[in-house]
Amino acid sequence: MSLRKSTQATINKPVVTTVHQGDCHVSAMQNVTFSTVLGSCIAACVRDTQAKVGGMNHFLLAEQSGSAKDRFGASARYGAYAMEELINMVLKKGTGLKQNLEIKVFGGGKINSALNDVGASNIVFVHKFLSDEGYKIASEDMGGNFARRVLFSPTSGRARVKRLDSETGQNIVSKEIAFAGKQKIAKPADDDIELF
Amino acid sequence: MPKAASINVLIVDDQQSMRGICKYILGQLGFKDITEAKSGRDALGKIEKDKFDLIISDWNMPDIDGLTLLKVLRKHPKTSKMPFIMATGRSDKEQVQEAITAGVNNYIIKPFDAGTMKKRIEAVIGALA
Repeated sequence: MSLRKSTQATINKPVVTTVHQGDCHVSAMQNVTFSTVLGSCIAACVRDTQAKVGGMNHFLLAEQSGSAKDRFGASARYGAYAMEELINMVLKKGTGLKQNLEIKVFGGGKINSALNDVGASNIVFVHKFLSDEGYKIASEDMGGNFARRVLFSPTSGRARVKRLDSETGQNIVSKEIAFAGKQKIAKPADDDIELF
Repeated sequence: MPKAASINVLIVDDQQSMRGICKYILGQLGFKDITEAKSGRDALGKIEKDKFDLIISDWNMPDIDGLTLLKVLRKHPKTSKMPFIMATGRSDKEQVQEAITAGVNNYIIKPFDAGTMKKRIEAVIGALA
């Protein structure tokens, strides 16, 4: 195979990028698929329909509640930042126009009945955030008592969801809660650059 | 020692949620005179009309972004020394140097909490009473 053909074959090879909790990935490559597994977590898939650029985030607001105070609590700040980061990254790689964004949201399951319904709080958060910012949800698959695997093509915007069995779901939720517990809201990395 | 309640702050962010969070945190720190602008252009309009003691601006915004806003302000004698804090995401961290060159007074990485915000503000305008 010639070098050119070999290079082309490498570029066109399907690439599946796993989006872990706390991650945010954006791509304009046709051969890329973003993949994530969600229990109570939320994943938003944002795509610029004109520029064919898209991305996925994956986050959990562990201490959300509906009170006014918690609207701006540590979890909500983290969630708003996770959404802003994804939207800005897509805008930056795309047309920069918010009206070109198509948004799909997934997750927020209630897998473990012994735990508070963290998933429901996460669904409330993401609905409110998108409504406040003036975005419409193109499609969603949220809630229910199961975990999900979500595959998203950032250029076509196609999203596929596979519902997972309850045992897998229990394991996923345990990991999500443990990860969220370790997260510190902005015990900032910014302190490693003291400028002034 | 400046009193938070007497300081006139302008928050510039295209996301309502982020403006709400910033306003809430400033409220926790005792700030009362808070104005919001939803873009760099909106901010320039407000700065033309009023004098602000402190600007806290997002970086990535449609039309005029935070860096351009900062550069415009630094060019005009009336606003060249206006205290300016850039609120930015982790992914923009390497761009902080560009903001320093443009004359930013300090920066804050999102998501931030009240303690970090206080520290950054005090580094710019002095310890709050």
